[in-house]
Amino acid sequence: MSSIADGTGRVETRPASERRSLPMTARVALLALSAAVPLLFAGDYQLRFLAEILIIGTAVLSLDLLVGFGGLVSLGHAVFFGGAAYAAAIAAQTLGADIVVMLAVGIATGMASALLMGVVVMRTIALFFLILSLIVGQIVWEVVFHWREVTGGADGLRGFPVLKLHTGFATIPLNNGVALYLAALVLAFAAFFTARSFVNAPIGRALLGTRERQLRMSALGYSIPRIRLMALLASGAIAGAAGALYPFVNQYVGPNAVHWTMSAMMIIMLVIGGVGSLYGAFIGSAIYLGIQTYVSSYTDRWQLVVGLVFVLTVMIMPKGVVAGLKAAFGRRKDAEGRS
Amino acid sequence: MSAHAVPALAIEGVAKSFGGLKVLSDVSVTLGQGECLGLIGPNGAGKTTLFNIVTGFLIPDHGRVAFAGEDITRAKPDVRVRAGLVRTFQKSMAFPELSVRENLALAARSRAGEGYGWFGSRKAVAAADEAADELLARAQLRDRAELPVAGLSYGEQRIVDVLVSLAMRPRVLLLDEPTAGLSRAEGEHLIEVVRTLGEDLSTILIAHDLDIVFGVCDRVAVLDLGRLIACDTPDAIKAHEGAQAAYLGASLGEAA
Repeated sequence: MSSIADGTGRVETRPASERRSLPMTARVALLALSAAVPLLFAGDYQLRFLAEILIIGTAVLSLDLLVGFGGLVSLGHAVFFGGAAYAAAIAAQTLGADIVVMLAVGIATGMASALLMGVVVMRTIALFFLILSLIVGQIVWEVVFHWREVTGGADGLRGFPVLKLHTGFATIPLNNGVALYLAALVLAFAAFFTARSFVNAPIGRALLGTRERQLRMSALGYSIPRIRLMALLASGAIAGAAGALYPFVNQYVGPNAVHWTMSAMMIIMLVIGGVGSLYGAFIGSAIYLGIQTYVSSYTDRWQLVVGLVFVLTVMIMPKGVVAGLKAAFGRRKDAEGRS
Repeated sequence: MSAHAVPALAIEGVAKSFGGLKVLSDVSVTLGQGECLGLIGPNGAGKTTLFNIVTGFLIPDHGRVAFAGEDITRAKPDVRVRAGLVRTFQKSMAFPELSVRENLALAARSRAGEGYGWFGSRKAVAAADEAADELLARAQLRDRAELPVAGLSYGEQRIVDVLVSLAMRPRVLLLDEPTAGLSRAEGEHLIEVVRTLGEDLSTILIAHDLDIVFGVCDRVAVLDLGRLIACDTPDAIKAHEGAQAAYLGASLGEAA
């Protein structure tokens, strides 16, 4: 039986053939095509910007596993992402910046931070989870901020070796917009399918169950801390993979990457894009970073615009921009159909 | 039940207070292998609290609970469930938006130790779905498998609730008012489902419908104000004065 995460966490019980949508191959082809468009029209700067959107979007996607499917709103998520970014940046200085090594370092760091976080928070929910994750996150930020010899303190780290992909034939440097964009694209797709397989697997159904009815899940023999810990580890791994590439886009990583405001920004992106939809993470990331980048060149008050978009999303399209637009257009189509 | 057999469940001297309120005091009762024990008493007598203690949602202040001879007084709820000590709740606890099959499969996967699977869990998922369908077929609800639980009639929902607990393959099943809100016929059908589908099952049944309790249970325990005032065969309980008094003059004999 197939099932799809549709934002409410409901299981699609109809067989795939009955769903009114494009077949899988056509969808993938369409996505690949639209992903190729920027390569034709965007310059180096825009491609780096798109890479950043995809990387941050991947981190937000990992947050969606916790928030959308586990009901666990974390204000410490930046630790998984930023921690991995620092780990990769530091490792690159001694090991060199082989992308496979960077990803391994990032994933390991993300999972280790998730484990640390999990030990503290896995038995808590709601407000307690939020506050505890915030505290763990800020402890990590303090460490990063004050450990100047390793992390560069308030200045952060910059000037890394060139990110490289070693293939059997040649070593490809990933230091231009096109290469970074493609690397981020592969990351985003891999993360999306990893998250989707998690959500549709027994563990994902169990995680949804803990969001809806904790008591019932215990009565069914499920250990809720164990489910939460697994979700945290999966989330940490994905966030860590994203974090590993992050320093190489702008050749910089600073303490803001682990600060709680980074976590809050990810939550805002997630809400704008659509909680529980997985792909909404990328939409939200694009809207937020788009406003930040393009509106801030007109006014310092760009955060006001973000705030407005956030409030409007919550009020008008509580399931996120994409679901909201879909619903709006769907309704219009239905109306046309009737007339 | 032979005198030497280890009881399926033994509750010994259990007491529980919430603040100054004594909800259970010194309750001892055993459940024999394969036995069906009725648990009756007025509202607030402590029936559900006793279930909560047996299933680990509450820890008693005093006393112990033994499952198949093993002390489980402080074991976590999910550990007890996986060992085969399963309960239902007064309110239907199925996931209303999930299909009937998904609800049963969630339980079956937990039972099979596959509840946390991620990669390569396709086989386990298929096996759980199959187990779910088999149970549904035996309960004559196979045609409901694809429906969300919320789309079923109330009576069917209560049966699905019981089927979910049976999908855990319990050795001891605690049923907390499974027949509440059901017609006599529906209630009897539900009990029939439990009896035919639960193999080697020992049960404790809380129900307000005394006809059902006296009709299906081997013994009946009467709780009143947190005390066990009687535990005997249905006929003996019907004649028991204290039990009658607990029901405020309602003649238990007449009810049957």
